[in-house]
Amino acid sequence: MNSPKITILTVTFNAKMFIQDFFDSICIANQDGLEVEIIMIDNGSSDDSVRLVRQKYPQIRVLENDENNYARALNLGIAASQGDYVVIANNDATVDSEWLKGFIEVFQSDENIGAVQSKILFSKSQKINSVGVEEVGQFYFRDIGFDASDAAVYSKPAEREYISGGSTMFRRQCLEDIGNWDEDFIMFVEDIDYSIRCREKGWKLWYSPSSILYHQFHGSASEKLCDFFCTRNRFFLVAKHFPLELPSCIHTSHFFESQEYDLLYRSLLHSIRKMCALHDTETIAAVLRDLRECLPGYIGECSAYTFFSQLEVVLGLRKARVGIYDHAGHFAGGGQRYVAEMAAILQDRYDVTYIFSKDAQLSDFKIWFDIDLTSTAMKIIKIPFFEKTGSYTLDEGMVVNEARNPFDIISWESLNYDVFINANMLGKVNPLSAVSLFVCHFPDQEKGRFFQVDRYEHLIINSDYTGQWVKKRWGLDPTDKLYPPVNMYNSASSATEKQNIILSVARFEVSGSKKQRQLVIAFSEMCIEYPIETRGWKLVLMGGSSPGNDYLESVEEAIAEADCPIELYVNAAVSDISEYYRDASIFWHACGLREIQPELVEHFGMTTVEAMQNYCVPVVIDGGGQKEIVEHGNSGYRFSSLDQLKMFSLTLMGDEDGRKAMAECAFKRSHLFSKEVFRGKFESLLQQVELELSGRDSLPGADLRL
Amino acid sequence: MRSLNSKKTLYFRDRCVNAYRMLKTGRFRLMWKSAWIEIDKRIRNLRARLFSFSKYDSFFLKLDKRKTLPASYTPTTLVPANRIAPRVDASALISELQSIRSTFEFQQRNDKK
Repeated sequence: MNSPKITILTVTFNAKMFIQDFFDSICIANQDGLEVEIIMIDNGSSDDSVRLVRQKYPQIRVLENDENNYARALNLGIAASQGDYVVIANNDATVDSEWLKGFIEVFQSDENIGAVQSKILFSKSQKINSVGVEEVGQFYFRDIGFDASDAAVYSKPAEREYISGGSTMFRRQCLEDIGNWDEDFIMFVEDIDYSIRCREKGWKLWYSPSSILYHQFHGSASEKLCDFFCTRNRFFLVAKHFPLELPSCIHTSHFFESQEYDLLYRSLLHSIRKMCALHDTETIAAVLRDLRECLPGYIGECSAYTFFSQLEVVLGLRKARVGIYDHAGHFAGGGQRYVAEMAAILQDRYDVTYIFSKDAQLSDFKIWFDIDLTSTAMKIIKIPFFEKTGSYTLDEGMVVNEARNPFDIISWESLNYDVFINANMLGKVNPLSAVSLFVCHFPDQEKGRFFQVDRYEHLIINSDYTGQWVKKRWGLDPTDKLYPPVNMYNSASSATEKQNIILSVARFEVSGSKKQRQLVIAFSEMCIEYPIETRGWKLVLMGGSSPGNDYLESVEEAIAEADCPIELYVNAAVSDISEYYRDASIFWHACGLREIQPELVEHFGMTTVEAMQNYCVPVVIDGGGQKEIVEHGNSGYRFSSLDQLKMFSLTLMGDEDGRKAMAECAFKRSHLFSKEVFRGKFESLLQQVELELSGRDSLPGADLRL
Repeated sequence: MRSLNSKKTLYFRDRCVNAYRMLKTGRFRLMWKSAWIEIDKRIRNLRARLFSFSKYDSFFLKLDKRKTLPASYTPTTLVPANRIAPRVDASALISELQSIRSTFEFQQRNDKK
């Protein structure tokens, strides 16, 4: 008779501290009459164990898995193995000298035996770790003999219903008959699944007392990690083999008991997905109906509704539905443009609905921002609380001590979407969709009553400055940063073809926070103090304003008093503004100068980027989002006082070459805030959202011993 | 870098200068508006702080338990799922799911309106 050929497979992940003892013990074990091949499959270790094994044990084949997935590693190893028998074993262990022989003895007793498990003892206490696996009810399994003394009762070979993957030899025919290990399990419970599949095909599973492995319990994985995968994979196991029992095993799961409803929800979604690939329509329908009955009681009525809705997306039955709520979408502003750009990208892939709370039209976005939203639907949901007040804007600050949250009407609406985007930072809307995004241009309000921002999966900020205040005011960590998209490029602009113009483009805020009056004063002082240097230069102020704006009147008055070349253009057309960007040499922005309220400082500063896109050198306030745009002394200057503003401007006015060089730098820098960059970053965010809707779990190459 | 106190002093000085100019030029409406913006902001922040102790509307917590805060420990990340080849009839499944969803009647939704 030929010597049986045996392959030993072991899967490693940062196992440097165990692996030598394991391989050394195999090398000195009794291999008489056996032809042994050893394969180590590494799951992406970072501890140098692969190099160590290659150097010290050249006879061992080392395979490298492209994913940190134990079941996948086994499949790779089995596919590469040559043995008539294949052993899979943990490597935080050592083996007894008769480890291999002990398996073969049992296999030789019956050719229907597909797999044989070792006696696994704890290495420290020598007590039993496992002599097989049994079910203890409710689809929970335990190691037979766990923590018992190694008594006579465990000294005879015996048939088992389930075996542990800690140390088991398989007959090759059995492996070929059953096929691949289920990679969705990643790790843990995959051995129970394989045991069931073996028995379904008529293979017997046995235990051999003379094959002994000494194991360090949880030597290679933390208890937390083990608990997570065991609980999650229990659902997978039930979904695969006992689908109708799935609803009844929810309340006994660790996720439910420990109120980890997020994990419970996700595990069930993935389980149903798995179920659909294996079972017929009647079975799935019966399970879904049962879930309809019990799930609301476990995770809440809204979550249950979202579950069935999200399932349609997970199973690829329909496109995802996206709802965008903009309570200020009835008038034009930077925030509206920001989200309209998002909508333009979204509408090509999803069913998108824009939700407003005042009369509005999507066609306005075309007029205001040249953004075509013809594939987007629209809904107007008026909020009675604000309809009563008759106010043009919806100021959530007005909701202070109301018994009920007036914005709940929008929360209920969010239930109709898979993805809900709260576009204009209305912090009192609770998102009930599967995935939600909160876009924050600045945390204007304190948390206050009905604060719901912490219920969103994604908290998007427009600048680090905003992020810093989100953390300070709301105690929340933003998840994504998306600078606003700026697109004011003009092919006619260049660093050389410029006129002696200092330009300021900013809305004439009633509060005066944009500081145009200070700019007028600064320029007139410059003209008086430095008449030669400023000769031939003019200041141009452009910006929007509502009628009857007292602040604008005070600016006009200051211009009249100044007696120097200053031009003012209110509500100018975009084409006119573009021409001034093209012609101006220097750009001024002073929003937030000497303000102590953070919301009155420029949160980002789109007009500064617009100027830079036209080779206009920015001289801007050293505060807010401007610090992120302009690198002082390179792509412009940042000032903290009007004296500095004058000094930096005079420097630029007197040095044409330096100004041109700086204009080139400013132009290059402006690309970081372009529409293309915005689109790219938003696409990445969307990929993440899509994964949250219908992705699968994967274990990154993290340290498992957390 | 100015300290917060010196910023506050400058801020206060600016407000006084503005008030004086507005008074001098007879711009009482602008004066009133500026003062109102200042006072209103402060009152709102104060009110928001006062009521923040009852910040959460516990109403939705019972209905939407899946948003465990903070999120539970999970060692996994999400990656694109391979397309499954369902054994089930897609149209039957769609109608089953739709009919299930139609059975949800949110009494609270109406209560809240």
